[in-house]
Amino acid sequence: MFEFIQDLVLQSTVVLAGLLFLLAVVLFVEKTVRNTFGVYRQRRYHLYEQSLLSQFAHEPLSFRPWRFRPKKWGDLRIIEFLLLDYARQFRGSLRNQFTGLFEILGYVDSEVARLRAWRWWVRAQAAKRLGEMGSRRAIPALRVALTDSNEEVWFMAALALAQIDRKTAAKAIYESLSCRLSHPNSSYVLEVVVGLGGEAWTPLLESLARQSETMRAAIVRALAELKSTQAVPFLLCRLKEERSPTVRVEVIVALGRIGDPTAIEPLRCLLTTASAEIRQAAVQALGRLQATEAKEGIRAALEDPDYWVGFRAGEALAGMGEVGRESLQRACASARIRASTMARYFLERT
Amino acid sequence: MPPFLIEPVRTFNHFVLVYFVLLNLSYAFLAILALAYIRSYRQRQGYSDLRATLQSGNTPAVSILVPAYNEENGIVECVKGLSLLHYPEFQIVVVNDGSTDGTLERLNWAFGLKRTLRRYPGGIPTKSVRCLYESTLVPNLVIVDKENGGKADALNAATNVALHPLVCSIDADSILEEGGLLRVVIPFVEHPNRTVAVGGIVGIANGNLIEKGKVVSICWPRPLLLRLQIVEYLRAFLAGRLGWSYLGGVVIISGVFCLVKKTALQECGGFNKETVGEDAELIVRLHRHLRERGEPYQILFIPDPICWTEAPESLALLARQRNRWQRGLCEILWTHRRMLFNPHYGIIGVLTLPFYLIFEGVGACVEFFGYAVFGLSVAFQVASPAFITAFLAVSVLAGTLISVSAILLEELMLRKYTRVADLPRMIWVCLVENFGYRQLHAYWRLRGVIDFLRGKHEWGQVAHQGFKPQK
Repeated sequence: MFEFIQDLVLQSTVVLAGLLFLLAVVLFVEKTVRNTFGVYRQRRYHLYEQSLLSQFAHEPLSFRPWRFRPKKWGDLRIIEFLLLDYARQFRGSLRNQFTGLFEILGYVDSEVARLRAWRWWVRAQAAKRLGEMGSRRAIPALRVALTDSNEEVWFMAALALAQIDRKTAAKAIYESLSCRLSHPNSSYVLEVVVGLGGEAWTPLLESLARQSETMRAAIVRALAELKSTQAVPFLLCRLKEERSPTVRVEVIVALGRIGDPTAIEPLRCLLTTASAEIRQAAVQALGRLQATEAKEGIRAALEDPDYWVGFRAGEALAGMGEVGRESLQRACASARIRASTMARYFLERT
Repeated sequence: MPPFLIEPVRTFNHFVLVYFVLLNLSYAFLAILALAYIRSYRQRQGYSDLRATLQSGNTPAVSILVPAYNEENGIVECVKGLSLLHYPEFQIVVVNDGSTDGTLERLNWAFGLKRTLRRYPGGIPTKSVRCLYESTLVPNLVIVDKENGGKADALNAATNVALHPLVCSIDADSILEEGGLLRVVIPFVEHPNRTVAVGGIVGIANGNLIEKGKVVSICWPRPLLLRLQIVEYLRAFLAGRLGWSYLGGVVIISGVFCLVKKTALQECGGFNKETVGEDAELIVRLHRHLRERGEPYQILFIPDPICWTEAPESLALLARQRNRWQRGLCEILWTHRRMLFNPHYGIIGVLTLPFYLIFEGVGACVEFFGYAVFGLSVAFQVASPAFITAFLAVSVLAGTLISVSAILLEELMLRKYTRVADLPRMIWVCLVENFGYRQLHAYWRLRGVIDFLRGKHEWGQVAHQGFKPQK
């Protein structure tokens, strides 16, 4: 037995030494290759692509697309990446010219082909790039990608469709979205919905009452991001019916962000609720709404036993200009120590 | 050697052999998991966009907490670096934890401090706060001046003052990369309800060129002690913690750079002042708290945001630091002993904490006594010298292999040490650390275990020199 262990240990020495040597060689080759090509790519970018891209931006009419012919430099992907990166800064007709360029150079077709790759991250990257290219030629392929089993690919395809064609694609996206509303990654849904813009808010409101707590919170955040005043009555209704404190806070934040004055009165009523979290969110939302009508309630909140409610009340009043300043001065002169200290602090800051 | 000792010595030798095999296999397994994690992370990087996070209205605001005790050499650089971060909305809270040097004066000189009328909010109990200051030059900077109460107490005071829903603890001798905060916040954007804490990689800043609070050039330092620590950090963060993160069992997130949900931190009672490893203890407590409540949650470790920190440059300081880390680990394992081998706590109870107990807690003793007994075995011819030599060779090679695999992970993920010439030096360090440093490390850890058993509970002196580039 002991001899066997001895032999095993000796053999392990040889195996480990071999592995170590192999790993060192792999590392060395990888680093050398990467460094060599990395420098090469950087130089090429500075020498060629950047000047051509600048020329295109400044004199779009004199631009000759064939100068970007992939054969010239071989690496199609780098140029595509650089072009996409450069095109991000443009909007309107110049952006459309870039879309035309992507089509002429075959990048759109190439990415559509990559949407059928067996590796999911390649499909996801292709969907994202198609969205950035903005070519309508990619719409059928992206619609197919909406049925992809991989969550990331679906998300990128939905986002891309929302970017290219939000009006006609909205229905398809929403249909696929509603099948996935139970997905824990609510931020995905949120981003897609925001990408869809005004087209999304009606189906969103319809599903608001049905979903899980996480998803309700995500939908409310999406509505806040869309800033549609039409959503305010639905949000106010949710505020009354909602049991989850997390979602209630999200609804209050959303009402503040949308900025519709009809929300002021219901928010003012919340300043006396038992939950400090709700009071804090309500004061903050009233501050965002510049609700001078609710200044008395906010001034009273300066004396709130919870420090952060008082702090947010001070912030809200400080942001209301002269009216808020006046309220702060009155609080400053009052006998209530907490309110007076907080008011003095915010008066000094303003 | 007396005959009655021969058999126990042989048995101990075999135990060490089995222990060694298990230890290296588990490290190799973690390295493979880390590779898988890095692969999936990089795949997502192909289409995820940091700019979208930066512009999104849903990116949560962050309060950065910087506890500072006698940090006059590096505090200004640290705060300058933080004020330049790429992030939509953040606040910097520096806590002067009763410094006896010129930390507060340096802050006042650099940022024009002004006493505020703002009252110190209660919350987590802390030592008394003398005053709150705000900067006249950096609008989102708040300074808390308080009586000395230790790092955990300072972090609790900063948490009380923090305005935003997420708090990020950063050491005052550290510099965070510009986009670091943006990267580490992504799990909070993607899973706002589930994500509780996220950690990032910590790198060694000594020798790097730092200007205006930013690392502008990364250099492979000259002193061997720093090189050894760099390899050690790479192994610990890339091979170790990433592997655990892949399994969902991260229990150690360095307080040097850690992002936590403020409400979860407050519910747990803040950082524990009774331990010297308050960062890791908090993470274990969060796991315990959330598992006991049965709430779905995630605590993650992200491979690419880097926070650069100053490492000890002398053996004495390093010994003190490692002793403290070992004591911290022992304290955590003792405080949360109920979680050990307890399936109620999932992977943390069944796998992670037992791993730390067996290989990190007890490991120091096994390793140290292993060397001693091996020496006796050779001296008294209990084991053949050929066997002992071969075993030591395997031990050195296995250790080196795991360290080199960490360098491979660095090359795949971070690529901070870009020069080809650095590579043979790094591999050389991986080999050299097995001769002397590893044994010294085992000794420091053993001392840590002994100090824990003796009930020693102090930080010891920590001297920071500030960021200086090497000549």
